[in-house]
Order: sequence, then C-alpha cells, then structure tokens
Amino acid sequence: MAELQGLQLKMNELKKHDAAVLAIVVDPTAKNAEVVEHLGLSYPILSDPELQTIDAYDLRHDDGERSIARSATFVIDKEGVVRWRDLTDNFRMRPHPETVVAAVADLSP
Amino acid sequence: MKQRRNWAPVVGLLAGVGAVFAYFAMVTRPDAALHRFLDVPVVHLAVLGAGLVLSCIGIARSAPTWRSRGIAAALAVLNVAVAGAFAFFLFSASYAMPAAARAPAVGSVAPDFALPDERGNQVRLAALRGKPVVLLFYRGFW
Repeated sequence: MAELQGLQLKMNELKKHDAAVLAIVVDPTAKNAEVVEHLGLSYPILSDPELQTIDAYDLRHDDGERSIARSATFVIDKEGVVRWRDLTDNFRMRPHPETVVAAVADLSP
Repeated sequence: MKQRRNWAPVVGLLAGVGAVFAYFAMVTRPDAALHRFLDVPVVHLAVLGAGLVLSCIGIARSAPTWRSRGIAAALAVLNVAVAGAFAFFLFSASYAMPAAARAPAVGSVAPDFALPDERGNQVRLAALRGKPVVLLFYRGFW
C-alpha cells in the first residue's frame, strides 16, 4: 500500500499532464474512506469486493483464504488504450512512482 | 579463574530475529520513502549476517562442556533457521504469483468498469476519456 502514498507525492507532476489516478482494491468502501483520509489522498480508491474488474484485468490472486488483486499499474492514454503496464513478478516489488510519472509523460511528446 | 559470560550466541540470535522483525514492521507501513529501501533490504540483511557471525563466535568461545557448547550451537541453529526462512521469503516465496496472462496488454483497450469510490459514488473509466489515467491495483489492508 506504500504505492498509494508514492503516487500521491507525485500528484503535482501528474496534474501537469492532466492525468487522473484511480486505485482499485477488494477492500470495502468504508475501509477505503479511512485510507484516503489517513494518507491524505486526492484521488479515489474504488472498491471491487466481488473482483469483477480485477477478473476483467486477470489480476486475481488467491492468497490463502482470501482472493485479492495482485499489484499492477496501468497507464491508459486519452483514447482508453493501455500504453504502459507493470505487473511485477514479485509481490514485494512495485514500480517506483517516478517510473509511472515517466510513462505518463511519454504519452504527450 | 572466573568463567566469563558468553553473550555472543544470544546477541547473535537477537540481531537475527530483530532484523526480520524490523523488516516486517517497516514493510507494513504505508510510507513510500521507506519502501524504496526495502526492495532489497541490505541493512536488514547486513544485521542478519552480523548476527550469524556472532553465532559462530559464540560457539568458538563457548566453554568446552556439553552444556555450554550445546546452548551456543542450539542458538546458532535457530539463527540459521530464521535467516534461511527470511531469505526464502525475500528471494523465492515472494515470486509466487499467478500468471495474469490475460491482463490487458500494451496497445489494447483497457476494459471499462464502474466501481464505487470511498464515498459510494460510481466512477466509470470510460467517463475519463480525454485524460491519461493511471490505474493502480493493490493488495489491500485486509
């Protein structure tokens, strides 16, 4: 979840590119409200407890008794096309926020 | 001559357990700056390594009795087990992930969705056409 704060710290740069940020998680809406408040996020966290969207993106991770999303980041262009993604092959590792910002910057040469 | 206390085996084990405990205490925090340094936690691994060296020193320094040698060796074995389990988690178990073979590829249209935000308002991806979107899936706070 450190990736949430990581992107928040880059919001000024992302805003320069007019980019929107959406986070998706299996957690319920009430939990997400706490997290947005606690971390001071200026972008929304969307709740997908039934894993409908997570399955549409093939990111289901059956982890013990619970199903969650594996960590993944997508950069989508103005036309709705995926232009960059990071699916990470290790659940401890996430793309660094500046890598994500660079991928967004690459959309508008 | 008074036998000096042999602390090395105990300190060695405490260093090992402490390093692992510190790693998990840090990795569960949401601070972005902290995580950059946890991808390969060199400081934790260095402390763990120093603890293993102390375990060896502890065996070497133990009094030549079954009891003294045995305690030092048992603590060293425990320390090796802790270090081994931690290394296995860092460099092997954390790669156990599903394939995600059908995840949207670069160049394909991102599947649309409508999901509630933290205030219960539906957010639709297609409504953001005209803007770049960063879409972040994460494991959650369960």
